Amino acid sequence: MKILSRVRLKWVAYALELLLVCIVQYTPNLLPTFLGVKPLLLSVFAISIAMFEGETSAMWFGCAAGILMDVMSTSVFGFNTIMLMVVCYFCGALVIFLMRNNIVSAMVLGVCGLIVIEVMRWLFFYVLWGDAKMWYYLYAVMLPQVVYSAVIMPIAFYFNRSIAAHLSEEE
Amino acid sequence: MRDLLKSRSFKMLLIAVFVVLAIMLYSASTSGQQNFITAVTSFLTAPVQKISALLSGNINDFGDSFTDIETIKAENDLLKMKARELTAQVVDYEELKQDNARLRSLLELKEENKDFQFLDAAVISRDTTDTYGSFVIDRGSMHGVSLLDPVITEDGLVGFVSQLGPISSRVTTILSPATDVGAIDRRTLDGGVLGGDLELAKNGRTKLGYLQRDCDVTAGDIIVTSGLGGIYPKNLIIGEVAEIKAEAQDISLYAIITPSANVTECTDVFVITYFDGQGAVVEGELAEDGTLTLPSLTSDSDAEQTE
Repeated sequence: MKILSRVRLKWVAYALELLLVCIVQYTPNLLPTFLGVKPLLLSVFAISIAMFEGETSAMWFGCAAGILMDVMSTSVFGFNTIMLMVVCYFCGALVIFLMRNNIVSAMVLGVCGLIVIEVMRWLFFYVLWGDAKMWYYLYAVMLPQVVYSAVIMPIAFYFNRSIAAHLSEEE
Repeated sequence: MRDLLKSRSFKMLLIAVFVVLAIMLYSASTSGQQNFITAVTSFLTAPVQKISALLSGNINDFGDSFTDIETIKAENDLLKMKARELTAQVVDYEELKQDNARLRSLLELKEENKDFQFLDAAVISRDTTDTYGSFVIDRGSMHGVSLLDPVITEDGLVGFVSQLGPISSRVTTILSPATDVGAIDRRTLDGGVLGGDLELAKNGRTKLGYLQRDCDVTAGDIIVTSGLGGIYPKNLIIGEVAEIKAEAQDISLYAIITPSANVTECTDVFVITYFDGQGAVVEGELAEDGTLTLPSLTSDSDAEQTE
């Protein structure tokens, strides 16, 4: 019973964390810009949660973060949901089956996950439409955004590790 | 790892992806209107966003006052308390002064255009994934906002309402290529179509395209809306010409425009909910399901005939 309540508390903590991160990400003039872009905090935090929660839970947290991003962004509704759901699912699975759960893995998964999401965004919203500025988007928007977001990864990783450690089932 | 692809959780992922894909397709077919999930979520998030936007403003103000106090403290410790009070007063005074200037400009605009009906709105969120600076305002259909309503600040045009919800709306800015604004040079009356460009948008600039080869537009000229199309009223200030360049694809020229309004950082805007001639040309192109079809590009001669 005590374990169940701790697990529930952990889900609530993650949900509140995503909501707070969403507010911080989308509040106007709050986050500083780097080379004209702002970080994708929700993607970073969703991936770091995925690393501690196994593939199924990771998928649902990715879904929740994606819905928040879709609600707030101008792109077609559902794109971020699908991308984060899939990326978080595989991040969760990779940590269970292949990788160690440490800061190096977090950086690798964070950067790879962000690159996958952003390359897909680039393909679907620039390349497929034959946008004349698609290469410009790649190096002037996508690259700085991935770098800026990846810098946040250690903070997200240690923050979620402490949540998972304090509210895990084993304790 | 191979078993993962046969696992129950992977099947669940596939089902979830297909469900979201279906919602995505439905959502794409009803552009201009918020879908059910967005509408419900925006009902929940809009008030929180409003508060966070307010807090963000206060944090920035606090940061500014703190810097001032630090400077004064270094200069004179005895005046620290007094300086804090004065700084707070100055912040209040500056806010009032800015509000006053904003409302005065609005009043002037209102006097010049008696047919305009304004609605003030606050920017409650900005899309970090959008290079064109689209944002959400705390006004929606319940407040009288309609799709395609122009959005301005006291300095000039900012964009138009591209997605309408009950209590919030999304604004596409003039930095976006999705914007097609008929615009003219106030000095020479040369006309063109204003539409954004990714590279220019990153520097907070936009582009006036389809200018005739022999046009007389020069750097420093003021660009205003032409009023053609019925989406934007006539003579709204857009910005100043920074540079003239030749198009790579055809023989026309284009002008790089520095918007008068601070499109990427504005926090308070006005929505023009009504003006004489609104929807004159686009009427009938806005489908009942809310599908947004902007008027196609017209040459100057076509435009004159339309007028």
